Amino acid sequence: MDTQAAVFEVNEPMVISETIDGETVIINLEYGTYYSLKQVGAIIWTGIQARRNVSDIAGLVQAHFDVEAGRAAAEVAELVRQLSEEQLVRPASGAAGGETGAPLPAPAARASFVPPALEKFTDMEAMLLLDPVHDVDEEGWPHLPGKDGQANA
Amino acid sequence: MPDPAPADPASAGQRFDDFFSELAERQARAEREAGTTLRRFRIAGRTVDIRFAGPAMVGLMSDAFAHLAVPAEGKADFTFRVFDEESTGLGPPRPRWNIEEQYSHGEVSSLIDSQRYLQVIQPRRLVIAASAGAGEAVVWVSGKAEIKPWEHAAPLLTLVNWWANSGGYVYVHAGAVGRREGGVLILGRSGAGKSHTALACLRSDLLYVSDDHCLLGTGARPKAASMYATGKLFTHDAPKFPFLDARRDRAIETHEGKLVFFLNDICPDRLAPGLPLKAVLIPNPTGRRETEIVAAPRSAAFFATAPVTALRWPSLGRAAFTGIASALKRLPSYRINTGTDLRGIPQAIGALLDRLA
Repeated sequence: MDTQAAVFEVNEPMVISETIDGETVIINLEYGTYYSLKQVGAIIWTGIQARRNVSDIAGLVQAHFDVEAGRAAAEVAELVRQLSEEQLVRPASGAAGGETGAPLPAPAARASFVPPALEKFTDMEAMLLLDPVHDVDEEGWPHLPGKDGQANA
Repeated sequence: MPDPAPADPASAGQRFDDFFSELAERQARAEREAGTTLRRFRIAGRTVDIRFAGPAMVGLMSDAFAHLAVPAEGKADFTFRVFDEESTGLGPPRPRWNIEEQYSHGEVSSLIDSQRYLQVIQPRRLVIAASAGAGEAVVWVSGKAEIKPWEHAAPLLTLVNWWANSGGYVYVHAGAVGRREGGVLILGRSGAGKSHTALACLRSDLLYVSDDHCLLGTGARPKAASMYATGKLFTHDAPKFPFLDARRDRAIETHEGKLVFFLNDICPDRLAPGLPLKAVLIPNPTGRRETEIVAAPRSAAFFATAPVTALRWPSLGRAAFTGIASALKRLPSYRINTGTDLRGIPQAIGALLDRLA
């Protein structure tokens, strides 16, 4: 597969995201993990949301930041690989963004390039993993031993 | 070990409806046998009746709403119907789901949709089934002993959260204080200083909406709405708030070593049901005497609260995440470097509100 032509999409519905003031916060509702992407990373995420191929996203990065084409393409491909590994994005189904995607943000001025970094936070995982739901019996109901009869009173 | 319940061929909606109607029948029977206690509250601009079967759960599940009580005239917008097994002898009906369908925080995710909500807190503690179509939710509790101190301080948290969504509000882990014409939302992780900042305002001209659990109106003009008339402090911090510390004997203690004060008994005139919001504050205790407020990126405010709020209840988290983002994009964000002189906190917030008026 031509990596530069590949199109990815956000792994909805379990992945949600919002971008505020140049920082994107991404949440995986299934695993309780969340992530931060700043500046270059946030722009790349915008391109993924718009279902643009990797090459187009690299062009978007070049339009916003002072970076040469080969470096931009490599950084986009690497971040997409990490996002895929974290199950935050998946190969897109259907048409790419050329026909269906949202418009991409226009750059105000080219900023200095800092390689994108996907920061991962796992402190909320415990809240899901400690949930007592999974410690109960197989019946799917909160029976304590010896209380079955009461539950159907 | 009994076999798992077989997969039910009925649709998820039908399975929920069957369970809900049987649960509602049991609650109605409990009311007939144990009597009814009715409390009405106005939360985030809408009225809700809480109908209790018998008196056992009334205080535990309504004390914290005392500041929002209104006369029960006419029909309420929604009804929460509560019964407990300990005092009525009535348990919940058989489940219409398998263990595999239960998800984090007790949500039975496969039976939840835009009109229905189902949460089962294990083991054998609490069931909440809510139906927008019926205009009712039914809550079953095993007994008084199973209500934790934090639930007395913040009763029916999930249910109020779910219900508020339909009125344009989302739950947010935040405090809120201010004046009737405008206030601030105080965002931060647990232990970041939200309660400290909010409770410091009780001895000022600022009104108190919350220190921890809050509803956020996500319309064009963001608003904060009060859920509970409670405030929490670590036991070792209570002496810094003498007017609260003097009422320590009436506070309840949580497992995390915090004292919960029921503020409607202490300073009812300082409590507000809600406020329009003018700004967002991120508390930052400094150890210095003075308090100062400085500009902060909105992304910092969002990051401080949105993941924690969204991951609390996965089925409700999506709306909360989007709603918080929507509100924060409309509000300026500041860091409040809180000082040890507590009087400086409401003074600094008041000065900020003056500037933003």
